[in-house]
Amino acid sequence: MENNSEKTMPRPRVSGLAHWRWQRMSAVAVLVLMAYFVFVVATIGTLDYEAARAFVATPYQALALVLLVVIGVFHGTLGAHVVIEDYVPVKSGRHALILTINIIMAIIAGASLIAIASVAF
Amino acid sequence: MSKPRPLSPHLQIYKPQLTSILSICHRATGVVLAAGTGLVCLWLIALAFGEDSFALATMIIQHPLGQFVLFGYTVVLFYHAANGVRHLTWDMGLGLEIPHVYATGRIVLATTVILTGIFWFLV
Repeated sequence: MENNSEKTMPRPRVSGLAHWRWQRMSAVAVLVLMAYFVFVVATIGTLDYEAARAFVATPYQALALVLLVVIGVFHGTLGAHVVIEDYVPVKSGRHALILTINIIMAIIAGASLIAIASVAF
Repeated sequence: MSKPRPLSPHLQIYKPQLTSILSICHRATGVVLAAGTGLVCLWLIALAFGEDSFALATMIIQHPLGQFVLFGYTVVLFYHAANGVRHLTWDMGLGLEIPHVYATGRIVLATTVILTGIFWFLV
């Protein structure tokens, strides 16, 4: 071992396996949910105000919408992590950027859930 | 000295091929979709706030510019979904030979066009 540990800190060897698996599992879930909502939008077409509220207020539609928002945002956040890790070095603020993305995506998911809840209840 | 970790290929010096273009598009469409969730969120908020804000959202969506954005969003969504399935097959160890990779790449492009066509025909 060379004695240069002060200059080159050992990189933390974090396993990415869990991240990889969650990305795949969420991909399959989002694929199914998106297929459903694309089908719904394609068959129903444009909804007026009352019809849109009635749709979101239907319990199982609301549940599907909640799942789409939560899993979709989760999948998008995981994907953003991979892109950032590939192109933003740690020195250029990788971790701060990942944290920022996490916060923004959490706000999007939270706001969507509150909106769905306020329509459904 | 510990070896630096490998970096992703730099787009400026990487020769474009169908495979690399589709790979880059998968990332780009993924980023667009992640950002697009913000628009879906805005639609839900507009619905929650009441009839006036929902009417405004509907007006924006039905405006030619809104329709253009929505069209782009469907292309991006169908591409990412189709290519995502291609990625899932690779993750299962299927279709990794180079001719297969090109063939499934063309299938993904065709699927994107067909699904987009069907969607806008129905809507």
